[in-house]
Amino acid sequence: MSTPLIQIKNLHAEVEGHKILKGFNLDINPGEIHAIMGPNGTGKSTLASVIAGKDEYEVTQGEVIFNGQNILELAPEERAAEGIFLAFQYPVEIPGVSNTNFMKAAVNNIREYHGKDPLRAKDFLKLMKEKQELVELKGRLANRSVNEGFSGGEKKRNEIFQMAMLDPKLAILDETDSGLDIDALKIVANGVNQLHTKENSFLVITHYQRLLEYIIPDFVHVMYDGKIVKTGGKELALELEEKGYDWLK
Amino acid sequence: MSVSAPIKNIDFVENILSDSANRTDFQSLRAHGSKGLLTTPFPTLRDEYWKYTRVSGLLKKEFKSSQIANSSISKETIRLTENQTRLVFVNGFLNSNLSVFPTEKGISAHAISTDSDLESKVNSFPTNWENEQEAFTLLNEASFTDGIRIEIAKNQKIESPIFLVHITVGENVAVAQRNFIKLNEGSEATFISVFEGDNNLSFSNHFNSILVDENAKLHWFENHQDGEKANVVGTSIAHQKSNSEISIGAYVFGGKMIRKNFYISVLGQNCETMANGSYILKDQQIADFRVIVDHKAAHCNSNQTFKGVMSDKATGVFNGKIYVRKDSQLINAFQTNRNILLSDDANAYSRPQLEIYADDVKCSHGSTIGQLDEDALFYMMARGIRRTEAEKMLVSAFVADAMDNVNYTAFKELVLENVANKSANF
Repeated sequence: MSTPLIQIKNLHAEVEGHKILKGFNLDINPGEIHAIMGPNGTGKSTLASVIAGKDEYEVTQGEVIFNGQNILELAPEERAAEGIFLAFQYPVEIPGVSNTNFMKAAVNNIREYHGKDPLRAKDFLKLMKEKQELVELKGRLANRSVNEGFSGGEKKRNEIFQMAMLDPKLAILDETDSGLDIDALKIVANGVNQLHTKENSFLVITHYQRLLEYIIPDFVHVMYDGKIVKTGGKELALELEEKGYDWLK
Repeated sequence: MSVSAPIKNIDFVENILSDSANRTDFQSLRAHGSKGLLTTPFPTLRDEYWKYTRVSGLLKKEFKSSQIANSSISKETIRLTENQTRLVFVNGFLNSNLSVFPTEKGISAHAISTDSDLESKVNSFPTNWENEQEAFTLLNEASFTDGIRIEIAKNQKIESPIFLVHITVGENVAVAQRNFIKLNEGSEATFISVFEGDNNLSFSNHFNSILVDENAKLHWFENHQDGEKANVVGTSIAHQKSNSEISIGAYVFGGKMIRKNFYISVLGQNCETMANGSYILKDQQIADFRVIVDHKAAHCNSNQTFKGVMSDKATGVFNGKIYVRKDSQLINAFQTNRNILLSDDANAYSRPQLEIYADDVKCSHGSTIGQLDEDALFYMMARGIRRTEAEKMLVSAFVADAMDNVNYTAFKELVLENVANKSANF
């Protein structure tokens, strides 16, 4: 039995006194794809933000062990450097910061964290070019400001591009499928599938099973009221699509 | 020289005036200045345009008129000015050894202290804006020690920039410098002023009198990297004739208190006027801008973009004014001041103002005071970018459009480097 890449144990979190996560447990092994589904307001996005380290959430109980280390003590940038990537549900626009400079800072800050020299400009640009092709954003974003004026689809593809650049161990996709037409969905899913190896894992948060037709999960979890209430295989997603969530509450 | 009521208690002004009383040049201008000071008090917080910057403490200090002094130029400035025209002023006196005089055709440059026949040549230069009496301007008139007169000949386009390097050194010096800049019809030139100095207490009072003739283009940029106890009042008054262009960019990083006045009178039609600036401040630094664009003729465009970033207990002030006079129709004039406060004790005061007397114009003004976007910071950190680095990137992005008009790449790079260095140390 392999050691889990991430172990989330009895996680409780709240924001401004509202309890949102209420004893969440999940282990993800290297190479696995897990999907979390569930109705609105059950804490799916909170879970993603807490793992990534957003400080407006207060963790009141539990721990998150990633690669043997309790990451709740780490700053968001340290978690990213350790190999956690969050694809945002609403990618942020950053006017005046070009995609190139943004990614250069990200790649080199992470390299610095691991005691490596910055990537040479030539190698960096080569990497950018290669990864842009993966999500069919070739040559379209380098000099533009991060996400500024991007369509919904472009923003999500940009998230997958960034993921490809940073090559994380665990990628959390927070409703990456929302607002995507079927073509963009296929591009995003195709990007994810190409990046998926035996070592790296995915946690896919979604409302609909549509995305899971393209990204095939090993496990599907249903989240309700701050914790997992049912776990199954990929067929559970289809069942949820048919029956809704009410039978699980 | 006798000095009466309004400045009676200001020892250093008395000192300065008695030092300059022996000078024989510019007697009428100096007399105008010292006479004006008798009836024009130095500003207090009760004055409309000095509401946020207190100078009473400064006026109590024991400053002495500067003497000719020696210094060296900072490495950054040497690098920036390499192979370029460079006029270096140490404590307000032109230093020939450190300077590189222009060789290009069409530029004439003369130190005021050595130009015998100067007075008649500068009669037509502006000395104030709309007869407004300002104590610091009058003090400069009465006491300036040196400066430069630069004239660009008709239709000459000067390719490389002309650097004016201002270095302040020594304890308690008061510097008063006066420059006369004239661009004749159809000419074009870029002036880059660099301010630096040691960390002694000082007070500099600069005055630039600028004439831009028909069809001429003036690009005027400033970088304030003054020493940490430097106090500076700098006033630039420009007159702009028809079809001409003035483009200003003033950037403040150093100094204790930097007050900048830019008063631009647009006298002819079809002019373009751009006045941009930025101030990145920490500790108890103060930068206070008063920027007037006075449209006295029709068919002109003007734009002001000022960006401030303040941390610790620093204070940034923007006092902008656009006048559109009666009959100055078809004016497009815009004014923006945006600020970011990085601490609870930092201050931003923003007063973008319009005064419009014509009816067929398009003018707007706006102002914001806020914080760095926490969502953007988290997004960047979630990609592995350290918070300090992310803040630096956001600050640089925030101020960037206040540098859009800088046409000399090496200077723009220096300014952006200063932004990055300063915001890395917040």
